[in-house]
Amino acid sequence: MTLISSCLIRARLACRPFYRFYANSAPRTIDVHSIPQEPIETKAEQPFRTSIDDPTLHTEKDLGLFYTVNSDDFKKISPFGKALPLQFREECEAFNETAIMIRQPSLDIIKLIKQINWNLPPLKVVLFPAELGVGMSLCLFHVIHYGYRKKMLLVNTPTAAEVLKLALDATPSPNNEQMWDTPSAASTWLKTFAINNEAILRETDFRTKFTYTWSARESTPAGTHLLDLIGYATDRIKYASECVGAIVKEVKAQVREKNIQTLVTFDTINSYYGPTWIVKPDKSIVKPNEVTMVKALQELLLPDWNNAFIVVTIGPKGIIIPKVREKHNWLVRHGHFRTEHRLPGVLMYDGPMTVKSLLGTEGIEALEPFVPIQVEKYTENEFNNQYRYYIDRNWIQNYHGREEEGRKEILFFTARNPYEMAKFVGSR
Amino acid sequence: MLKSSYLIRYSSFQFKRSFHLTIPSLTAGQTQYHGQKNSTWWDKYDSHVDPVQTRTDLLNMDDLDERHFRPVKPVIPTYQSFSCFHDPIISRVIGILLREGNRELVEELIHKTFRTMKLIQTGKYNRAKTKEERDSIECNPVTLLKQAIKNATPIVRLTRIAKGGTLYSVPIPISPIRATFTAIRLLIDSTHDARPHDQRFWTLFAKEIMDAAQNQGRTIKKKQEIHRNAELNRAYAHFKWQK
Repeated sequence: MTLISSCLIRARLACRPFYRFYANSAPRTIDVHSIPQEPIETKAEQPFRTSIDDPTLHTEKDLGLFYTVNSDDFKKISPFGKALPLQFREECEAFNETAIMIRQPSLDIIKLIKQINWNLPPLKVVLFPAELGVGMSLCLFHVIHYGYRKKMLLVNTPTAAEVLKLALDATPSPNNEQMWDTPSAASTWLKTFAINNEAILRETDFRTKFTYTWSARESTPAGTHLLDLIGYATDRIKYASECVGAIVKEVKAQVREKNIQTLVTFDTINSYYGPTWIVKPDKSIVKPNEVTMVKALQELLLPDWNNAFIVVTIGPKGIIIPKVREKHNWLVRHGHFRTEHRLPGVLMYDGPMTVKSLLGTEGIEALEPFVPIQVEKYTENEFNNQYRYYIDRNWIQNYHGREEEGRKEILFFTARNPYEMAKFVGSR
Repeated sequence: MLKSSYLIRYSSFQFKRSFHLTIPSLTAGQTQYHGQKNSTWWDKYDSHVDPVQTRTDLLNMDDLDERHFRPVKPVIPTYQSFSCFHDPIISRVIGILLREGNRELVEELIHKTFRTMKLIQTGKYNRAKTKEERDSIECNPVTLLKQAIKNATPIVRLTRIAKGGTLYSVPIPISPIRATFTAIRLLIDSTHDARPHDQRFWTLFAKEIMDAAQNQGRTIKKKQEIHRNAELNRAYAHFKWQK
């Protein structure tokens, strides 16, 4: 016992001698060009980037490589910048480019898009995570980019949860007394729809089939161009959320005749089957079925149309847990969730993130039948490529972090989780 | 100004200290337990032995040595580490920002400040066209912090010495540890005063550190005020040694 323990202690102390503790306090400036970059590049001479910008040309060989998104494409796909998570957006601003890794789940979805029979009701694909922070939104963005290049009609709600949670202006709707409007969220949705699909709508001359009466005096006749309808709705924000329902109806009815393929995407759809943060004047919570925009968008999931493909991601469990306002009630009674025992910095095991627990029965009834695709953590290859990308963009600043032991330490700390890796690397 | 903020912070701490040293509702992973004196059980029972400090001692260790059979104290305290990303100056800043032992919160804040600093600086770096511009931009947040602390350390401090019934502010030399403490304290206090105050602490803190590294901003102004006051009261400097 003594020999083994002494050998282990010797080995440990040999690679990390005690004086090392003071080595970091010596002042030393980082000069990227003076640090030898050979040891990392000669080990694997394969590159970590591709020059193929077009997602229609990506194949299985490009797994784990980064491709840069054109800034024009990016502005068209997400004009308000909501399609990607906030942390990633900030890093892209710092790196002066948006580079996304090509991973297995998105390639699987693209394969499915190429293979399906468009005459059948829409195929639903659910991207569910193995762990939190595994990169579902980026896979979804890759698929949206592919759809954009293939000239499919994009009906995507980039942040489904924001509509319900952060709606600061939720007003009761004028036409229907029980329903609630979200004018600002609806207007942003309409604007993204317009900017995404401008080219296609102009080409095919997409006109409305039905008349819509917003009130006793105002109505839009059949035969108006969809872009004009959207312009009208953004001017009259009062009817914006009903206009969302109108557009959904039009898309469902006319896509069969026009022979356009549509790609419908939702990000964090389980917020549609959980509680909202909108509170009525008598302090009761509004359900998502009572929000006009959500109700309209849920009709997209029904199987009564075709020429469509639906991709959906699931958010974390926090979206289903109702929020308790701790400010005014001093005795906060949480539900039967383990939030009251939570401490920062302490790891608590919540149970596996199964699709059933995240979506609930309502969600599964609405989404079934679906194809589940799991998004996993990085593989060794992907992790190494991400590490090299960060070094290339001068994001890893610590002069130990660029060496082999820095890579090992990052691997140990983050366990190949993309979100944790970004957080860890970004904060040192 | 320094003294008033010091008083405000410590009032709540003293009130809580009289209740208990250990917090029974916390789980096994608690970290708010180590700061108090004689709180760890080996301090109470004195049974832990000092560890091996040098490599030669380790190689020439006896098989009958006490340390094989008794619990051994750690080589370094629990808030330090052998990790390559660890820096004692960051630990010091965390310790000075600590309130009521909430170390996790302060670590998060400092991670976010470093992240904002890196975002700004790498943004400039990746947009720089020429090589000289790139070499001049300093991206490493830890070096920026060290530079800021270096620029903000005062050389003297003022004490009150009573002589003949009146209190005089006397400039006296400052020890280096106290100097770094005042520098970090000045950085933190100037972020508390920074405008616009709607923004989060880490964005303002990042801006303060970057300004101080460039020898601009509120912290440098405060340090220069200390120096100015010391210069004004220069005549009384001999009071320290006179009595």
